[in-house]
Amino acid sequence: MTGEIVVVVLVVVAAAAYLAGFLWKSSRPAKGCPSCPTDKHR
Amino acid sequence: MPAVTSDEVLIAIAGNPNTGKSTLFNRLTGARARVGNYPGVTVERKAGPTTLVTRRAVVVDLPGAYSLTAAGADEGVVLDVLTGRMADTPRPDVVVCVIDATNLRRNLFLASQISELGIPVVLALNMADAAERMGVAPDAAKLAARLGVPVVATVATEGRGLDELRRAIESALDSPPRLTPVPWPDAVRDAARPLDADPAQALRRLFDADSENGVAVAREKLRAEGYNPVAVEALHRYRHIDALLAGLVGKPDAAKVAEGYRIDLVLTHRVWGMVFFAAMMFAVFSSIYWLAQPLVGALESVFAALGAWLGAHLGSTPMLRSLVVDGVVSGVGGVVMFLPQILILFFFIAVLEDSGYMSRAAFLMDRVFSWCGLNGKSFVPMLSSFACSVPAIMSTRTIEDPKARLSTILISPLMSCSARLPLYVLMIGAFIEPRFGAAWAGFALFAMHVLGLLAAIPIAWAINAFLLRLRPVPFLLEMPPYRRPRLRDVALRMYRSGREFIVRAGTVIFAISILVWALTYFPAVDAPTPAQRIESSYLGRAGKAVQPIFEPAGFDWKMTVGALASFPAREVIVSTLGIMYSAGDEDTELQQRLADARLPDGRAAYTPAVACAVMVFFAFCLQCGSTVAMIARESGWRWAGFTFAYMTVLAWGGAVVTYQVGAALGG
Repeated sequence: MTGEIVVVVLVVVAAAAYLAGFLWKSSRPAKGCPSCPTDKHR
Repeated sequence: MPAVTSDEVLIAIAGNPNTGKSTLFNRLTGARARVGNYPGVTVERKAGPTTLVTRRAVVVDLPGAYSLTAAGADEGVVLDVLTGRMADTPRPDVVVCVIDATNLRRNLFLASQISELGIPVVLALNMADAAERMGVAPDAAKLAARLGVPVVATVATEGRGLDELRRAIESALDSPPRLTPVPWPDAVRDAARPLDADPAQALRRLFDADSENGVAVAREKLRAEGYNPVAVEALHRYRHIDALLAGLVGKPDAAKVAEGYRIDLVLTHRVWGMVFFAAMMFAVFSSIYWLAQPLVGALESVFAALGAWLGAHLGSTPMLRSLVVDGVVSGVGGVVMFLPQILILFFFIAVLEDSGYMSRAAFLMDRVFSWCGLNGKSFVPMLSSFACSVPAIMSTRTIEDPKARLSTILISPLMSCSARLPLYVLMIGAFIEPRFGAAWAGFALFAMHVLGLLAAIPIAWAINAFLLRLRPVPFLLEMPPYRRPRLRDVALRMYRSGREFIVRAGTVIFAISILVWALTYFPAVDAPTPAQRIESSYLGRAGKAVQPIFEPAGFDWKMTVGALASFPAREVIVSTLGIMYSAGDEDTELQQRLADARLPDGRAAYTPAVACAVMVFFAFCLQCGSTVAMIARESGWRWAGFTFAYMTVLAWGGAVVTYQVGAALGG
C-alpha cells in the first residue's frame, strides 16, 4: 500500500512539474524568428 | 539559426511572396518547412544545411517581399539580413532570388534591388513549367547574358534544375556576378551621396520612406531637380528592367489566362462566390463528422480493450489502477480518439491552401470585412485559425498596418480551431444526432465553425470603432494561379498535424489528466462508490462552489469542473469528462454515459439545450495557454489579457443565451 502511494504521489508531482515547466516555457519570447516584435524590428 | 562555420557559406533565399521559396528551401536542405499556395506562409526564419558542388553551406529562407522598401515587418527583416544588420545572422555570401517565371518583370524589381546592395545574386527562374504552358517562358541562357547573372530554370516542386542551381551558386561564389546596374540619373546620385559612405546604402536610404532629417533634405533636393522622390525608384528601375527584358518574354497565351479568369468570375462573384464558400464550408465540416465515424469506433474499441487489460493486471493495487485506467487511459484515450477528425480537417485545409482558393476567399471576404474596418488580408490568418490560432497569429505579420494587425490578432482566436473539434463531435454525437438525425448533426458541426466567423465581424467592428480607431486601407492581394494540390504536401500537412495532436495528447493532456484524476480521487479515497468519491473530492467541491456562476447556462457541477480545467488547453474537457464519468464504468462509451447522466432530482444532466450551450461556451472561450502566450508575444500582455477577458465574458453570455432560448423552446 505504501509503495503504491509513493508511486502515485511521484507520478502526480512529476505531472505537475512538467505542466509548470510547459506553461513557463510558453510564456517566454520565441528565439530565431526574424520578425519577432519583441526585438528591434517592432 | 545554426551557426555558420568558417568552412561554410551562407546562402539566403529571397523573392516575392508565393514564388516557391520554401519549396526550393525544402529541396535544397531536405527540410520539411511548411509550404502553401498563398502569400505569407513563411513567418519564421528557417535555416538548414546543404552541400553545393565542393562547398558546404547553410541556407536561410527569408519571408517573401515585393521590394526592399520596409513597408511591413517582413520586408524590413529581408533588408536587415541582406545588409548584415540582423543579430546572429552574418551577411549572406550569395542570394538565390526566386523568380516567378510567369511574372518576370515584377519579380526582377526585388532582384535588382538586392544586387545593388553588392551581394552576388543567382536567379532561380521557378515555376518554369507554368511559364512554358502560358507561353511566356524566357530563354534562361539569353536572360543570363542580358542580366549579367546566372539564371537557372527550376521547378522546385519536382526538384528540376537543382543540380544546375547548386553549380551556379558555386560559380557565383568563385566569381561574384552583378545584375546589370540601373543607370541612376546624376541628380539621384547627388541627392543620395551625403546620406551614407556606401553608395548602395545611400540610395536605399533615399528611396525608403525614412523620416530622418538628412533624408528629408535629400528628398527635397531631388524634388527641386524635378524628380518625384516617392516614384523615382519604381520609375527608373522598371524602365531599366523593361529595357533588359525587351524581346525576351513572350506574350501570354490568352486562352490559358482566360481559363483561370473564368473560374474566378464565379468564385469571387459577390453572390455565387459566397454561395460556393458557404457550400464548401458545409461540405468540409459535415464530411469531417461523417467520414471519421468508423475510424473513431475502431479507436474506441482499442482504448476500451487497453483499459480492460490494464485494469485486470492492476487489480491488486486499486489506487494505481484508478490512476492508469480512469486517469490516463480515459483522459488521454478520450482525446486521441478524435485523431481521424483532425486528419480529415487538415486534409481539407491542405487541399484548400494548395489549390490557391485561400486568396479568393480573402478577396470575397474583403467586402464583408471592409464594413468592420478591416480588409481581406485579415481573412487569411483567420482561415488559418480554423486549424490553430498560434501559427495564424504569427502569420498576421504580413499585415502592414499595425492597428489592422492587432485587430486581426484579437479576433483570430474566435475561429473554431481543431482543438474544439473533439468537444463538438462528442456533444453532437451524444445529443444532436440521436434526437434530430444525421443531417442536422453534420449541419451542427458546420454551424459551430461558422459561429466564430459571424461573431468576429461585429466584434472587430466594435474593437476598431471604439478602441483602435482604425482607418480602412486599400486591399491588395496577389491571386496565385490555381494548382492541383500535390499529394506529398497534403500528406505532409496531415502527418505533421496528426503528430502534433498525438504529441500534445501524450504530454500536456497526459499531465493535466493525471492532475485532474488526482483532484477527483483525493481526499475521499474510502468513499463507498466512485460517484460519491468524485463528489467529495477537491475538484468536486471546487466545481460545486463555482457552479452557481454557470447555473444560468445549464451547466451542472461536473461540466463546470470540465470548463474550468480546460483553461490551459481546451481538449482537456474531453479527458476531464472521460475521467469523471468513467470511474467504475469502463464498458460504456463516454457519449452514452453523458446521455445517461442524471441530476440529484432525477432530471437528465444534459439536454440538447445544455449541449448547445456547452459548445457555444467552448466556441467563444479562449481556453488555450499557447494562444494567450502567442498574443502576449506579438502584442503584449495587456492585449492578451483583454482578449482573454472579452472572450470569457462572450463565452459565458453566449452559453447563457443559448441555454435559456433552447430551454424555452423545450430543448
